Amino acid sequence: MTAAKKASKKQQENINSRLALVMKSGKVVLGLRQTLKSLRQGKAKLVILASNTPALRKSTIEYYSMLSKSGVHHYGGNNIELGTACGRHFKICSMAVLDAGDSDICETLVMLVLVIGDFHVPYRASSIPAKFRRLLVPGKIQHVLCTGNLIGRDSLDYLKSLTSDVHVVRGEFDDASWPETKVVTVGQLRIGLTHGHQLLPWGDPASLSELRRRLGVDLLISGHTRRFEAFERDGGFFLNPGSATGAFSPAEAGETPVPSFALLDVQASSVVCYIYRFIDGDVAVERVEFKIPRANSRG
Amino acid sequence: LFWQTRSQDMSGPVTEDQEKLLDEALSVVKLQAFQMKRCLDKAKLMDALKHASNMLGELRTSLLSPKSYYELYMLITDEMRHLELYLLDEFQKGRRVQDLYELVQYAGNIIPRLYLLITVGVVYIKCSEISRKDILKDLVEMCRGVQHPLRGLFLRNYLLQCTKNVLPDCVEEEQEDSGSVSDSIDFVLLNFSEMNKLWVRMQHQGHTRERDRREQERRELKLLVGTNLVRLSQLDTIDVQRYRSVVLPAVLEQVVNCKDALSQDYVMECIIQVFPDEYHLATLQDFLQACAELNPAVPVKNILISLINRLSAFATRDGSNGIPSDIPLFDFFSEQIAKIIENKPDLSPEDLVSLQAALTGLALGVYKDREDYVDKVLETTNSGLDKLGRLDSPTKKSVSAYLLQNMLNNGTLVPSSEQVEQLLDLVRCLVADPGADAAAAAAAATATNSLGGDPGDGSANGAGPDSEADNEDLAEEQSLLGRVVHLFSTGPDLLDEQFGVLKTARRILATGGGRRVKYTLPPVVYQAYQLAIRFHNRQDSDDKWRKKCRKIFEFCHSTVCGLAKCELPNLALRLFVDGALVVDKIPFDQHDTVAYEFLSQAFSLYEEEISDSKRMTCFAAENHEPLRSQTVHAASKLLRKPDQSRAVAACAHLFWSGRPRELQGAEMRDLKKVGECLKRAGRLASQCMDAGLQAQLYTELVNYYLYFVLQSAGSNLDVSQLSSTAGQLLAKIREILSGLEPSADSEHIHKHFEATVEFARSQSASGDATIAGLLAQLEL
Repeated sequence: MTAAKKASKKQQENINSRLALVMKSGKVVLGLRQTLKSLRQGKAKLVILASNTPALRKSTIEYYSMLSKSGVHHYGGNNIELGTACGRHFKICSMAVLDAGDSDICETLVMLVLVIGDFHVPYRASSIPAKFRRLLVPGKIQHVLCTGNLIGRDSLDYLKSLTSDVHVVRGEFDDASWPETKVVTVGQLRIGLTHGHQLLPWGDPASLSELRRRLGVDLLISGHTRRFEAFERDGGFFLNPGSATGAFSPAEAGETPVPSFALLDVQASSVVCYIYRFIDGDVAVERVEFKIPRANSRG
Repeated sequence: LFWQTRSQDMSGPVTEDQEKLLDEALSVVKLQAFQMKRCLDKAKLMDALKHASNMLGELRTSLLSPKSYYELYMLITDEMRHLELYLLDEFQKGRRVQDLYELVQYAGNIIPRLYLLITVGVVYIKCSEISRKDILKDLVEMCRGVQHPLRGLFLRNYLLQCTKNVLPDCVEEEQEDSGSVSDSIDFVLLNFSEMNKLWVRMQHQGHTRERDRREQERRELKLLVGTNLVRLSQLDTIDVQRYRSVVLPAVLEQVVNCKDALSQDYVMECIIQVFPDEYHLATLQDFLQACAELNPAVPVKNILISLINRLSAFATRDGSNGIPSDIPLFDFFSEQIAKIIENKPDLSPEDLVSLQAALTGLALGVYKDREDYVDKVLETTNSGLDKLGRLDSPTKKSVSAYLLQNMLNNGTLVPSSEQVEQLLDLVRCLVADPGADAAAAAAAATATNSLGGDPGDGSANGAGPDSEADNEDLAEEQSLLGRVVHLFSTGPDLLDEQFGVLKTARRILATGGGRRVKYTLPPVVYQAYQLAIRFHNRQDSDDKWRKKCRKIFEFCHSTVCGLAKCELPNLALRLFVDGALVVDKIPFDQHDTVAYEFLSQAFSLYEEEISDSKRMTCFAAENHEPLRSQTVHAASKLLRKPDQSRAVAACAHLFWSGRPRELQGAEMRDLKKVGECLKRAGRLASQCMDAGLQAQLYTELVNYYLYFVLQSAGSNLDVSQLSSTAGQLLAKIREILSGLEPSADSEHIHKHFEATVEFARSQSASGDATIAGLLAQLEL
C-alpha cells in the first residue's frame, strides 16, 4: 500500500512540473465556465479536474469532453493543490489546456486509443458509415488498435491517416503477415490484441480469459463476433469493439450487425471506454469505466 | 497583399529604381501629411488643403509600377482620413465652411482636385443626405476626367471606398432628394463599366514586348474591378427581380462587349461568387446565354464548373429548400455542355471529363431520385470519349475509378440488372482488360507457380518493382469495384430481382481473370448469402423460398468453385466455411447435405492446397459427426508437431460445445471424446524436442483441462479423470521448468504457468465445494 502511495506521489510531482511548464509557455483557461466554453469551441486539448470536483460538475465536463473528443485528466490532489500547482493563489477545480507550449503534457496525460476492426471492405461492406469518418479526425487519437479483417488496403491507409501508431492483428481473411496476437502498452496499461477467430468457441468468455492470462495483460481486445462487449472477468477486462462497418457475419445470421467502434481514454488508474454505435442513421455514444487494479499480479 | 507574387519576377535594376522612386514619393507624402495635420490643429483649413493637394500630387506619377503605386496610394488614403475626420467634426459642430465643395475645385491638377472633391463630397453626404443623389452623380461623372488606366483605376477605387457606407439603399419614392437604390445601382454600374474599360485598355499601352508583364500587372489589379460587384451584392434592397432586370443585364453587356478574355473570365467568376445562389437560379438562362457569347479564348468550362459546383452545394446544404422544381437545372447544363463540346473540337479529354464530372456531381447531389440523369451523363461522356477515341487506358481507368468513388460517396443504388450491366459496361476497363485477358490470366498463373518455390521462373517473369506497383494499383481499383457491388440493391422487397442482379454481376465480373475476381466476386457471394437469409426471414409470404434458397446456394457453390480454380484456395476455403455456417442457419430441405457438401469441398481444398497449418481452427461451430472426426483427422495430419498438438486440443471443443440436431440444440458435452482429444494432444506435445516449447504446450493444455473442469461444474459429469491428468501435467511442467535455462522465452512460460496456477487457486478458493474438491486433485 505504501509503495502504491509513493508511486502516485511521484507521478503527481511529475505532473506538477509539467503544469508549471504549460503555465509558463502554453495557454490555459481556468475555471468551470471558461473550460466549458473552450470545450464547446473545440479548442481544449486537455481538461484537468481536481479530485474534489463536485460529481455533477465532473460528469458535465466529462460529457462535454467526450463530445469534443478531448482528453480528461483527473488530477490526484484537490482544488487547492491544483491551484498551487498552477502557481495561483486560489483554488482551481477545473482547467483546460488550449496550447501545451513546450510541454508534452497532452501526450503523457492523455492516451486516446481507438479500438476498431472487422471492416470486411470490400468483401462484405462498401465502407464505414460517413458519420464515423466525420468523427474520426487526425490529430486527436494517439494509438489505433485494430482487431483485423481489414482485407482491402484502403482501410489500413485510412487508419494510418489518423495516427502513425497503428497496431493490427490478423483476421482470418487477411493476407498480410500481421501477428495473431499482440501486446501493446499504453501508459501503464497492458493491452492484448487478437482477432478472436482462433479462440473456440467464438467469443466465449472463458476462452478469452485463458488468453488474457497467457498474454499477461490487463485488458484483452478481441473482435470477430460483431457483438459489442465490455466486461470484467477473473480480474481482467475484455473489450470487443464490434465491426466498424456492421459487416454481415454468417455466425450472427439472425440480425444485421450494428456498426460500432470504441475509444479508450487511458488514465493513470482507470480506463474510460466510449462506445460509438451507428443506429438508424445516428451515432449513439455510451460510456463504460474500468478501474485498473494496481494489485494485479503481473509477476 | 495581392502584390506579393509580383515582387520576384521584376528584374533587378527596375526593382531598385522602383524602390528609389517610391522612397522619394513616400517621404514627400509624410512631410506634407505632417504639415497638413499641423495646420489642421491650428484650424488653418486653407493651408491644410494646400498641403493635402501637394501630397495628392504624388499620385500623378506614371513611373511607378502598380505595386509601388498601391503602396503610395494606401499611405495617402490613410492620411486623407485625418482630413475627412477633421472636416466631419467641424461640420457636425455647425462651423460650416462655405462653398468648400466649389473651393476644392480650384486645385491646379486634376488628380488632387478629384481626390479632394471626393473627400469633401462624402463629408457633405454624411452631414446631410439631402443632396446625396446629385453629389454621387457628380462625382462619378467627374472621375471621367482621368483616363490614364492606373491612375483612373485607383481614383475610382478611392471613390468606391469612400462612398462605401453612404450609398442609398432604400426603395424608390421614400425620399425624393436623397436618392434610392436605383441611383446606387446606376452609380456602381457606371463606375464598374468605366473601371473595366480602363482595365481592358491597360494592355494596349506601352511596348508589345512587355505584353506579358502587363498581363501580369492587370491580373494583379483585377481585385479593384471586382470590388464594384462586391459593393452591388452588399446592397440589401436589390432583390431577385431587380437583379434580373437591371443589374445582371448591365454587367453582362459590359462583359460581353469588352471582348477581352482576361476580363471576361474574371468578371464571370466574380458574378458567380459574390451573388447569392437564388439569384443565379433565377437568371441561369441569361447567364448561360452570355457564356456562349464570350471570347473563344475564355475557359468557359471553368466558369461552368464553378457554377455547377456552387449550385449543387447550395441544393445539398442543410436548411435550403433545394432547387425549385420549375427550373430544369440539369437540362440547362447538359444542353450547354453539349454545345460547348460541339463548338470546341479541340477540347482536351481532361476538360471534357472534368465538365462531365461536375455534371455528375450535380445529378447525384441534387436529383437523388433521378438515376436516369446520371446514366444520361455517363452515356454522353462515354460516347463522347469513344467518338474522340483520345483516352489512353490509364486515363480511362481513372475516369472509371472517379465515377465509382462518386457513387460510393453518394450511396447511389443500382436497382436493376439492366443498369448493372450498363454500369459495368461503362467501367469495363476496370472489369477486365480486353485482349490482354489471356495474358493476364497466364501471368497470374505463373506468378502463383513461382510462389510455389521455383525462383528461376519468377525472375524470368520479370516480377520487378514495376509490376509490384501495377499490382497495388490493380488492388486499389478492384477493391473499389468490389465496394460498388454492395450498391447493387433492388430495395428490401424485390428479392427475386436482387438475385437476378447478382447473377448479372457475377457473369460480367467473372470475366476479370484471377487477379480481379479475388476482389470482386467475394462481395457477390456474401450478398448472395445475405439474400438467402432474407428469403428465409420472409418465408411466410413466399412458399417457394426453400427452392430459391437452394438455387442461391448452388449459385454460390459454383462461384466459389470458380474462385478455387483461380488459384485462390485460401479465399475459397473461407467462403465455403462461411457458406456452410449460413446454410446451417436456414432449415430448407436437405440443408444439411448442402452444408456437408460445402464443408467437404472446404476439406478437399484444405488438403490439396494449404500448407499453413494454423488455419485449422476456423471449423468451429459445425455439427456433423463425420465432419467432427474428419476435423480431428485433419488436425493430426498437420505439418508441425506443436501445431498438431494445438489443433487436436482445439478439436476438444467440438465435442463439448457442438450442438447436434439429436440433442435439440443442447451442447453435446462428450467428456470421453474431449478427454481423448486432450490426451492425444498431450502425447503429441511430449514428442516435441524443445523443452521450452513442450512446457508451453503443456501449460496451454492445463488451461484446456481447467476450462472443461470449470465448465462441467454443477453438472453430473465425472471429471476426476481430467483433473488427475491435469495434475500430472502440472508436475511435468514444474519438472521441465526447473531444468530450463533462464531466457526471455522461459520467463514468459514461467509467468504463464504462474498465472495459470494462480487462477486455479483463486477458483478453488472462491468457487463452491465441488469445484474446490475437483481442483484439490490438481495437487496445487
